[in-house]
Amino acid sequence: MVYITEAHPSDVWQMQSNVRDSVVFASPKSEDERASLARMCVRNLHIDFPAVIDEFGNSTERAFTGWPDRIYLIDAEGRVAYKSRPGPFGFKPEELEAALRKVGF
Amino acid sequence: MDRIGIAQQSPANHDVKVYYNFAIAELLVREKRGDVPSHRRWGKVLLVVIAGMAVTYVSLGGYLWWAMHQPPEIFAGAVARMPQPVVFLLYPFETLWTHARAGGLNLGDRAPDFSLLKVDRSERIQFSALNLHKPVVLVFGSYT
Repeated sequence: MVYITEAHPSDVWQMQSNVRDSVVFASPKSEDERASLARMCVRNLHIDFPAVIDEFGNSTERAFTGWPDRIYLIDAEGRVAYKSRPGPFGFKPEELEAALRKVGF
Repeated sequence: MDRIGIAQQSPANHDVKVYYNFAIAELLVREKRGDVPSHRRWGKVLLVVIAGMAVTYVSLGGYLWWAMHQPPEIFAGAVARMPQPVVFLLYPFETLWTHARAGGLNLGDRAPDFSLLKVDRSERIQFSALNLHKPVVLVFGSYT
């Protein structure tokens, strides 16, 4: 997982669903705050695969147009084998599953 | 006023014509004052309202489209200030979003390399090293 800029921080675009789920956080103001929130995200959502934090300038998010969420499959030659539509509408794990089958998983 | 004069001079059905005469006179006076808009005036009012709504719709849609092409925090701030249900109901939001956030990477393109710290900050991961001879899934996301 690449942890990127928060989608709905309380100080920018608060969602009622986040209030309901008690996931209310303001935008991190430093690398430390971002790392702290990323750790909380990984722990509370039980993400058990390797997770990295995009740097504060969001260079990786911009390179992949990853915000607010998106899935990619990069093949063994380093080329894009699957790219989801931008989330939240295009975030479809079942499409990734089909793409993985195509590359032999 | 000619119509009033003609009605007053007519001998037949005098009462009805006098009443008609007064009704017409009242309408003429009120119309002159602007109390009773004519059909044409209502048509103009309707046209102005429709034109205003069209301009508002196009302007708000243009603003939305512009915002979708901005960095995430600017887009999120802009949408948060918009009338939320209206924006999502009046515009094909998903279609606009899909086009605006299509991104420059296409299938078959070489994935950009990056080097980022793990969440626990224990080590730095070089994507190209991770991707060496095996496929990698990248899931971009956040907590909220």
